[in-house]
Parts: sequence; structure tokens; C-alpha cells
Amino acid sequence: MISKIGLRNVLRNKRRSFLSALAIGIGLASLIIADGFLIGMRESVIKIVTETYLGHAQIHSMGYRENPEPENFVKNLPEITTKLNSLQEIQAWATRIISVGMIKSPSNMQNVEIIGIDKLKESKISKIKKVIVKGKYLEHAQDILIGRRLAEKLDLKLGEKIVLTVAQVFSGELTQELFKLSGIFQFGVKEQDAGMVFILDSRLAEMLQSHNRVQEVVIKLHDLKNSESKSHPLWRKLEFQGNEFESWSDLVPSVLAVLSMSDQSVGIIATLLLFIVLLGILNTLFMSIFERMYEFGVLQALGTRKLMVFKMILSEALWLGLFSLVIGSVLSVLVSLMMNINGVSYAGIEMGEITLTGPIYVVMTLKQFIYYPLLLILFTLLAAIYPGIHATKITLAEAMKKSL
Amino acid sequence: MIKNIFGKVLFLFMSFAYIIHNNPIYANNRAKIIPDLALILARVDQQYRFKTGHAELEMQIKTKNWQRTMRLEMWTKGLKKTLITIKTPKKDAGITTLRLAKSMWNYFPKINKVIKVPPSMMMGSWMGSDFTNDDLVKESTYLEDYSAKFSSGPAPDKYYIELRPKKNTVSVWDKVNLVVDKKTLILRQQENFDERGEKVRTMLFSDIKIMGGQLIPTTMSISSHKHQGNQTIVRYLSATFNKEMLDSVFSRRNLQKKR
Amino acid sequence: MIFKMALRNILRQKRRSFLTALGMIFGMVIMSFSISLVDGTYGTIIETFTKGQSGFLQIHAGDYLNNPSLYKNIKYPQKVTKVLDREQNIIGYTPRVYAAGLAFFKNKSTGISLQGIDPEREKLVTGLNLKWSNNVNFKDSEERAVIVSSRLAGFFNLVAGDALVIISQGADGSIANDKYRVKGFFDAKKNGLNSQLIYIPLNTMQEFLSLGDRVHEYAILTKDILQSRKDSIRLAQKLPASLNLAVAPWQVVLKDFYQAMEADKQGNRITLGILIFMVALGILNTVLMSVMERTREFGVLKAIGTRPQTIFKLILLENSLLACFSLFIGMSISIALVYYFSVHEIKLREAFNYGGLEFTGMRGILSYKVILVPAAVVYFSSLLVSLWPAFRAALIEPIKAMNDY
Repeated sequence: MISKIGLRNVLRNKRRSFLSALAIGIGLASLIIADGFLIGMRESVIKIVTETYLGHAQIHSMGYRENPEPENFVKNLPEITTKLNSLQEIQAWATRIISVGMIKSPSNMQNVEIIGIDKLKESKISKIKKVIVKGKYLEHAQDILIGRRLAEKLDLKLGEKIVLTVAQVFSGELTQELFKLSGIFQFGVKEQDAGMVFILDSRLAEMLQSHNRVQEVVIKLHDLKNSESKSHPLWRKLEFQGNEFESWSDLVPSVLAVLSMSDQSVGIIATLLLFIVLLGILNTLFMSIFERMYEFGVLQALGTRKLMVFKMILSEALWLGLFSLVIGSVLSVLVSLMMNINGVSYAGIEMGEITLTGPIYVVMTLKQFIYYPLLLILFTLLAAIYPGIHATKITLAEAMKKSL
Repeated sequence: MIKNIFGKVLFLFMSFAYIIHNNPIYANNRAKIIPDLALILARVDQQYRFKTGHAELEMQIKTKNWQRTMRLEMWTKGLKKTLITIKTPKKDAGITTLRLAKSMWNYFPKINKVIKVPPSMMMGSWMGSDFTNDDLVKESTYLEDYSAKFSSGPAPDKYYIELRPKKNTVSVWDKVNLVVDKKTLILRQQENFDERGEKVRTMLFSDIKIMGGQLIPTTMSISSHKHQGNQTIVRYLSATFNKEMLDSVFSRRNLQKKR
Repeated sequence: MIFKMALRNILRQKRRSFLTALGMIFGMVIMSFSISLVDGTYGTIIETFTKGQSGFLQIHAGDYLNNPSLYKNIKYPQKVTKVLDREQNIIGYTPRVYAAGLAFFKNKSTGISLQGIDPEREKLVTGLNLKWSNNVNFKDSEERAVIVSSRLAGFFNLVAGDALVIISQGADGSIANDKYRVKGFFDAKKNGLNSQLIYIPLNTMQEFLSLGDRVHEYAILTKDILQSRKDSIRLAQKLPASLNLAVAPWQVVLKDFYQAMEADKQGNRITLGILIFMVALGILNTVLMSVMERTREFGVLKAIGTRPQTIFKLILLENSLLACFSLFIGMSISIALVYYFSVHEIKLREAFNYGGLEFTGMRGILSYKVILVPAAVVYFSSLLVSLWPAFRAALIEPIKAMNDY
């Protein structure tokens, strides 16, 4: 019965109720979208960071990252690979052979970072296969992939010859080999597109005379969370003597910091929005009460209990909240659908040590549609307390005095 | 007996061909063509190298941003050992380069240091010139690493040879055109082409004289077509060839000798 | 008269007016606080980057900034310094030379970046020496010493006093080779600098590379960073055109950072926009309410001859007064709040790394923009929002109105 009364009161002044519900609904929608955007940003950023090239985690010989000398091979590789194959948390892994060298075309030459990859394993970990804009992925022994900027500088077209020169790891002797440009890639990251080349690891191992050793192991996990906390048992399993197991957040620490800063901001925005919501409800309820002063006076004169009056106000507030909820939810779904048509483009923008290469999408989760609406209803009810109490105090005499 | 018209014609043709084929005049020329190519290429590969060589050179380098003239003293033995020291200008005097097969060292007298040249410096041009280390010390030879054939050209007294690197030959060039003097078998011109058929580099050899007992083109000039305005000219001022030269000349010790 | 009426009308519904005012105050204060924090924090970051590294303006030859090359240098530096010395606006300037090279020590070698600096001028303009450990600094521009990054020091195992061999190509084609004493170190990572960087006195480097007196860059500090774009255009006009020089403000020099910052600021503006929109809706609701409930009253007013314009103005005035009152309070609160946070920074839970530099807190900044812009926005949006109700009130037909309610 009370709920019917509440509803009727809300519908009495449709325009006012609508405007209030709209204002509050926008607040809710903003909150949901901000939350969704942040989740999307976090997901997109982490995805971009880890899937483009870095992987979820990497293993190197201790000190390799400070001193990337080619003879700093990953230690105990056979044991590590056995371990990696046995661990359930690991979705995929790949080894990379890394060396610096010189690439030469008829027009030009340049120092580059040469990555020897296991073509099958690598395609499951990094985007290299997917970011090829011209040509094909590595297939034959003489295939090489170079970045678009490098291809421009060297004035190279697909199928043309290039010469790679490296120094053998132990003897230091120079080796030159012929390659054919099989594909041009574009990661969207300046440094990679201008300074990295990919060849089959077997080829590079041959040139370097590095035998079966590698400088880097890249790992992809089933669940990203496993890589973030250093206390996770996974770390201990993989940190063999002499090697370092680092997650992506160790490799590019500033990214995590920027993301956490954004998280804090949303918390602050949420608080602000809820406060405005509070004000809005207060105002609306008071206006509604004022309008019906006479009515409340009569109710009191008729002997209606204070609690009943209070509940009436609460019920009205609740209905208002529910309408806001509906408006807010619909708005948030619509807006996020619109935003997700193309995503929010952050391409080319640098965040910390990495360059973002793609758009960010808003992520809708169930939590958003349960948690925030509940919060809203809660606030609505809280906000209704003061007006509610005020309404219970209206006496007929007062009411008659105040109305025209 | 030859039964049909076709058979008769074929027989006639073949007889005719046989006669021609064995005619002394034609036979002689044919015998000349194929072995000469190998000889020519061997000669070209050896053009400045001989068994040993000791020469004084002047190198003039012109680039978009600077130009300089250097005087060099060079020792070579076979195809793989080279020692070059700079005599002028004074600023670089005494800087010496030693190349042994796949390694290269530089000696800088000003700081008295021998430095093993890393790959990044190795594949670059030598001293900023249009020569790469490949040119100075031939890693590959035309004779062994390229397929050659004669082509045609304007001058009757010159051989025109077209070379393409063999499948396993490590080279950025797709085609090299040589122009060789018929009489002296001296290389007069070399043009390097990339895979698009664009001419990237031209080397001209001129001023043929007898020096150190050998007939050599004493002036070599390289022009780059991709980097307009770049040119390097090398002139042999004096040279001796095939004299006794110890391997110790091409040692790190000798590299550091005060000159 | 209208004034009195407006005032009385506001005071009629004290609670409602109060709540509306509260909304306006809140919106204003939040806006001030937010703008202050964003401008303040970025201001600190910009200051660190510009005063500490890039300067407010930079001069280069041709398109050096986008395509650096040893050979793209400023060929007649005296002509440039003559102009710079004359400029009143310029607090200081410092020349720099850049080159790539190889460093050798014992058996190791690695590629390095060389930066030639004038120690005295650099100290005044960017305080570069402050980033160097243990207060080392070059004696003068001719000292034959270098200061290397700790990463390089670790790679080579260097201690102060070691002689580092550096090889590069001279501007005249010669092979630049020399040995320099390692005088000190700096932490590249902490200062957001290239970990393969080596500092060397300017004249020493010019001699090393046979550059004569040529330089690649002048970093300039002016009186007002906010005028950087204008200053760069004016300075470019004063330099001899024949030298083909480009003057860039820091926004162009630090293009990547600037773009990222603008993207972030844009996000902030959107959030504030939504906030103000919500407040405005609330105000609309209130004003509409107050107009609707006085329908009868307006009907009477019109019946006795009050002109529509007057009623229109009355509504607007009511709102305006309320807004002014809110603004007064709001601005006072803002000023106090912003001032507090400009002096005490908000410590972040986790220090974040921006462009290599570590930031531990966010700081507010007190400026006209921070206080006046939110005030103006709230004031005008509340006026805007009351236009429609005022319009409706003005058009009330007396008879209908008096029959209503």
C-alpha cells in the first residue's frame, strides 16, 4: 500500500520527477561509464602491453636486463622448459635469441636488434604475426621481417635481398648472411618499427654460434593476476639460480603506476557524484513535501502515525531512485555502445614506457549494474531521512498557515 | 635413306651446321669465348691484390656535408690481409686499420689504443668513403661466387660482362656490370644494380699505367646514385707488387707500431 | 523594486534556496579543486621538464628537431647569441651539441650518446649539474673530462678517474677519437635521461668532432612560460632568415608529453562537464518548481498590468542573486581549499613515474583561472537554465493562472 502511495506521489508531478530522475540517472550513468572506461583502459593497456610483444612475464639470466650482452644466456634452459611445460598456470611460452647487428640494403645500412624467434611458439605469444602489414610471416630459412619505418629508411620492397651482419657470441668473429624481406610489420611503436628485425631462431643461432642457448624466455599465463603479485608460488617455481623471473609490471613499471592513479580518480569522482545525487533528492523531496503541506497536515490530523508518514516519504524516494536507476542504466548502456563502436582512440599516446597502439573500449560488468545501483538506492534512502523526519513534524495548523 | 621432305631438310641443315661448326675460323672463336671469361674474372678479382702489394694512395672523399683528401699507405697480402695507415691529414695521421678475414682492428695513435671494431662499424663505409669493407677486402670473388655471361656494349675493344650473385652468395646486389679492356684485361668500369634494376653505384677505373711492375688503372672513382653528390676518388701514387711480405706485417703488434 | 521582490522570493523558500545554493557551491568548489589540482600537478611536471631539461624555447637549424643529424647544425652561433643577448625577455640560454659514438674501455664497447654542454650556462638555465651525483661539475667548457650515466659505469665497471675512449665521426669526415677522464656519474633512470648518455664540456666536444664553434641547439629560459608559443614566433622573426633556424616552444619540443597531457585534461573536462550538467539540471528543477507554484501569483501580477519582460527579469534576477550568493561563498571556500593544497601536496599512495621522472604527490595551484572559471561557468549555466522557466512565467495567461492551483 505504501509503495502505491509512493508511486502515486512521484507521478503527481511528472516533469519534476522526470528532471530529478534524469539528473540522478545521468550521475549513475556517468559512474558506470567511468568505471567501465577505467576497467576497459586497464584491460586494454595491459593487453596492449603484454600481447604486443612483452608477454605476461619473462625469464632472463640475472643481470641481463642491465647488461644485455649476448653471452648472458638464460641458465638451465632445459630444466626451465620442462618446468614450463608442466605448470598449469602457463598458457604458452617461447624462447627468443637476441643480438645486435647490422642490416644492409643497396641504399643504406643500420644497426638493429635482431630477434630470432620460434615461429610457431612466438605467434601464440606476441602480435608479430598479426601486425604484418605487407607480405607474410616467417616461413623459410632466409625470411626476415622488418618494421615499416626501417623498410622505408632502407628503401626495401618485399622479396628484396638484405645482408645481416652479427658477431659470433664467443669468438667475436663477424658473420654475414643473406636474407629476403618476407614481411613488413607495424607494431605502432616507434622503436620497434625502426630498430627491430625478426628471423628464425635456428638461423640466428647458427650465425651466432650460440648452440642451444637463448637470452630470453617469454611466458603467457592463463590468468594475468598470477603475474602481478610477487608472492605467488609461480615465482618461486621459476626463479632458478642465476635467472630472473619478471612480470610485465616489472618490465614497464610506470604503466601500473599510471593506471592506479586513474583508479584513485574514479573513486573521487564517484564520491562527488553521489553527493550531488544526495542534494538532488533532498531538493526534490522537499519540494514535493512542500507542495502537499496541506495533505500532510490533514494526515496528521486524521491520526496517521509518524512512522507511516516517514515510510511514505521513503517510499517516494525509493520510487524516484528506481526511476533514476532505469534511466541511468539505459543511458549507460546506450552511451557505452556508442563509445564502443570505435572505441576511444589513444593510439600513439605514450603512457609511461610504452606507446598505446589501439583504442580503449568501455567494459560493462555485472558488478556495475548491481553495485552502483544499490549504492544509489542506499543513498536515496539516506537522503530521504531528513525530509522524511521533517514531514512527520507537519501539523495541520502549520500546514494551513503556510498554504495560500 | 631419308624418306620424307622433313628428314631431307633436317639432314641438310645438320650437315651445314657441322661444316660451319668445324670451320677453323668459327671454331677458333668459339674456343676463345668460354675459357676467357674465367680468365677475365680471375684477373679482375686480382686487379689490385696480386700476391702482395704495397702502395701509396690518395683518397678524395666528397659528401653532402664535408670533403677531405687523405694520403694512405696500404699493405695487402692475398685477398684477406690488409693493413692501411693514414699519412695525411695531420689530424688523422697514424690511424691504422688491420683487416684479417672476419675481424678488423683500428689503432689510434693519439690515444695509443687498439680497438677491435664491432660489427656496427665494420659494415659501414670505410673512413666515410663510398667504399665498404667488402670492397677493400673482397670477401667474395667474381670468379667463384657469381654467374657470369658476356653481354653487348658500344666499344669494340671492350668486354661487357654481366654478373649475378650465385644463390648462396651474400651480397645486396642483384646485378653487376663490368667493362673490361680486351687487350689488357683491365677492369674499366663496374656498375652495381639492386633488385629493381636501378643502378646504385658506379666505379670507374682510369689512368692505366705500369706501377710496381704491373699494369693497373691508377685512378678509381666511385659515385653513389642513391646519395646524390657522394663521390670517392682513389689514386695510386706509387706501388710495388708481389714482393716478399711477412705475415707479421698483418699483426696487432705491427698495427701499433709508431709510424 | 524588482530587486526587493526577487530577494523576498528567494527567502520565501529558505530550505529550497539553500539546497540549490548548496548545489551551486558544491559544483563550483569541486570544479575549482579539480582544475587546480590538474593544472598544479601538470604545472609541476611541465616545470620539471622545461626548467630542468628542455628550456621554454629551443632553437635548431632546419628540421633538426624531427630529423636530427650531426650536420644539421647552427652555423653562425655568434649571430644567434647576439640576438639572444639583446632580448629582454630571455632570462638565460645555453648551447648544446649532440652526437652518437662508441665508447671503449678495457675490452668492452658500446654505443653511446654524447651531449656537449656549457657548464656555467647550463647551471643557470637548467641546473643540470644538480642531477649529477656528489655535486660534481665541469670546471669550464674546455675540460677534458666526461660525466657518464651509472648504467654505463656499471657496464664498463668505471670509477672516477678512469680514462674512457670515445670514437665518433667528425663533422669534416675525420675519425674523432680521444680519451677522456671520467669525472662523475648520474642516475639516468631517476632523471628520465637516456641511459647511454655521456656529458662532455662544449668546447671539448666541438674540438673532438671538428665542429669549430657550431652547435645543435640553444635551450632558452624566458620570463613567462605561458607566453612560450608567442615568444617562439617573435624570436624566430628576429633571427636572420638566412640561417634557416627553427624556434620551437616547449609544447613542440616535448610533443609526446604534451599530447598525453592534453588527452588527460580533456578527460577531466568531460567529467567536470557532466558534474555541472547535473547541478544545472537540479537548478532547473528548482526554478521550475518555484515558478510553477507561483503560477497564481504571476497571473495576478500580469492581471494588474505587470509586463511579461518584468516577470522574465524577475525570475532571472532571483536566480542571479542566488547564484551570486553561492558564488561568494563558493569562491571563498575554493580559495581556502586551493590555497591549502597548493602549499601541502597530496601524497600519492604510489609514486608514479612520468616520462622517467618520479612524482610523489599532486599539488594544487592558486590562479585566476582556478577560481574565476568555475564561478563563471556555474553562474552562467544557472542563468541559462533559468531562461526557460522565466520565459514560461512571462507568458502566463492571467485568467488561466488564477484558475489554476
